[in-house]
Amino acid sequence: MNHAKASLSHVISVLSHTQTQGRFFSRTGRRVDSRDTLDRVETGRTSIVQEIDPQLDPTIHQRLLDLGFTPGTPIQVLRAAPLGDPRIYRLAGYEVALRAQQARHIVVREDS
Amino acid sequence: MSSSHCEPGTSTQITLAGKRRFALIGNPNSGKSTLFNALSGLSVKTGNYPGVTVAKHLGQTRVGDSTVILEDLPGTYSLDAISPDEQVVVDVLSGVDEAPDGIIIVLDSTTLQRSLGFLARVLRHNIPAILVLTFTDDLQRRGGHIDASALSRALGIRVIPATSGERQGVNKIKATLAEFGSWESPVIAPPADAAQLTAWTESVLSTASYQPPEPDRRTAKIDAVLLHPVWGTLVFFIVMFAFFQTIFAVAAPMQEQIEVFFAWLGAKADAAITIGWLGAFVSEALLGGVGGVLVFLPQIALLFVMIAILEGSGYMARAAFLMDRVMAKAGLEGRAFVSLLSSVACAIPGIMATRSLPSAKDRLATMMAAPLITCSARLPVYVLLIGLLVDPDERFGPFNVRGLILFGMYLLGAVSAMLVAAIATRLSRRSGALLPFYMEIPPYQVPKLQAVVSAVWASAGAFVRKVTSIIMVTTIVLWLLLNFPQRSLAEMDAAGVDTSSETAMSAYVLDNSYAASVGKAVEPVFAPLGFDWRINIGIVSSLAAREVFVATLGQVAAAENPDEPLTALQDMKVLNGPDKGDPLFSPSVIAALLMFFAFALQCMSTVGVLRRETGSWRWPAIAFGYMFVVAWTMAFLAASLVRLVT
Repeated sequence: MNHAKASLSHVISVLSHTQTQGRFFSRTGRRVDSRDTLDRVETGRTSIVQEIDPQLDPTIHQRLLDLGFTPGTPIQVLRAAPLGDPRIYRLAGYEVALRAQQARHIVVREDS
Repeated sequence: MSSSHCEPGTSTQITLAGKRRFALIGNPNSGKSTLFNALSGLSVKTGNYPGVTVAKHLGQTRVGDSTVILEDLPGTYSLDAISPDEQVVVDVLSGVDEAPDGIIIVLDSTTLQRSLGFLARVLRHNIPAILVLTFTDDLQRRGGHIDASALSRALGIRVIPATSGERQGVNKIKATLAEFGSWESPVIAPPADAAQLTAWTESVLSTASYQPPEPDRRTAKIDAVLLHPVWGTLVFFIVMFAFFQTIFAVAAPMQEQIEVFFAWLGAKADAAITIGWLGAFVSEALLGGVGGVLVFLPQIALLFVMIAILEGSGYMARAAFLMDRVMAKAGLEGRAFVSLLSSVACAIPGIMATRSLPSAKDRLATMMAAPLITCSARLPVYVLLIGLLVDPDERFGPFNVRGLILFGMYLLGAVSAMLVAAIATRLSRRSGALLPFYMEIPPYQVPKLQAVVSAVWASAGAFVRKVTSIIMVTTIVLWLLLNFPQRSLAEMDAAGVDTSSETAMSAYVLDNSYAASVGKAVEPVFAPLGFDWRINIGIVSSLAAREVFVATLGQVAAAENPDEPLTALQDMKVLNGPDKGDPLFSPSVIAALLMFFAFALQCMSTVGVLRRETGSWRWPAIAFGYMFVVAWTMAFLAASLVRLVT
């Protein structure tokens, strides 16, 4: 029984893998958890940029890099607008407001 | 550029005018424009880059014994252009548009970790360059550090530390510009590859013993209140209230004085000029026209003072941040709010304020919407029409009905502007990529006096020059149309006019004037709304500026009864058709007129500015067309509705 359960969950995971590859897996095949994007980081916390969503339009990708969202940069979430969006982030010595729509494309890891 | 005018042996680095050209390039908020203004003083000329909605700022300054041209390029974070103003920077750097002789790269010393990548990409263009580091005083205050001469050695170009606007830094930059021939250039160009660029940035910063600044404590403390969900919103509304109060209350006494002055001047001219028609022409058309426009100068100047202060202090970015969610509902971003806010005074500064929008599509959508915001020129028209419609003491509950209707008109303007913006962005979004929204939130600063003065000088000057010419010409034409052809006494006698009465004679001239023919010619268009040729003259003449409508109706009414023009207006009767003998200004006609003025683009100055800002006649034509159709339809609906109810 245990074995059957395990293989069933395996099948499900493979299926979901195939279905969501476009959204949840980066080009390198590394799993990108949806919890780990900048828009999900709580206000007040600091995280480190891991990468920018490789699927993103190349010009916007480059723009986020030019704004300082380069891999390895620490980012602190400073505050949110009264209705929750946009939010102000502090990085590279300055502060910038982004809508969740853009922050969603910045993959981060916890500051260790 | 042809070189045939150049003398033999002249270097190609000298332009035709024989002056060197330097372009200032840098990130937004880097203090670049402040520096540009400090360098060029009041010599700044604002124009447009050919074919695009991008303002071109040119200035001059004396260095050593020669004069050089300075060009303030639009601020940009990237050389991968996503908006027309960024494309201008790329074009200038790559020499598409005639490359400058040298460039002055302006970087905020507190954000070097971000901006060195930008510097690297600029340097790869191989144009002689120097680097100006701004806000070095802020860097020091916030515990940061940089060794400018070490940075200069690491980069291979000259580095000038400056605190924005301070004389010493400006003089040093001028001295460096004078030594243009001996500028050093990098031995090896910075790398292009992203990973190598990160390594290059790190090594340059460590060579210059760069210590990034601590977060600005003063800014953090102020933002804890001004961006607080409750207090921040409250302060925002207080700031907006103060903004409108200043525009209307503080400007009003100054406006009155201008009016009094021009009335006095007109009377003097009328008395001094003995040729009757010439005196009337000078006092009514020339002075009346110029005065009618200059009345709005205090409002415009104050508006720009306040915008420059809000911008210079850093609050404007916060206001845009607070309003972003609301503007997003119309498909716009926070910054468009600033433009719509300015349009309450006048659509012209509102349209000029769209230059701060990075996206050309947002800019167009805002430009299409801004003329719908209730501007100060609509106010006299609304006051007259509402006055004809409602008694001064009529009340609805605790509210004065006149005030309620006026408030409703302001609300109608704001709501319809947002609707138009929403439609325009939806239409344009179908083509092209979606631009990301990002906005730097700069540290708070005390606004620089020089920046405020420059902003007011440039915009007030532009207002007086461009608008006066348009309005003056139209008022002159209108006056001629209303008063010509002149009739001889014999002709009037033959027509049975009582030639002993001044009133009857001027009424005859008016009824048979060119203007009357124009009013009658457009009658088929406006007849369904209940307008006759007398109202039509008002509408046609208000194309020059909306407030001319009031003046025209005044002239028409005065021609019928010079002693009591207001009573004459109320007593005007429909001249023919089934309603003959009924009052001309019936509730349905007034409702139609209110709607018409709320929506129609009855303002040639706005059309002119739209032409200037978009670089083509296409957008002003679209704006005029769509607004006319909406205005006619809304007027027709309002008139029909009122006729049903009454």
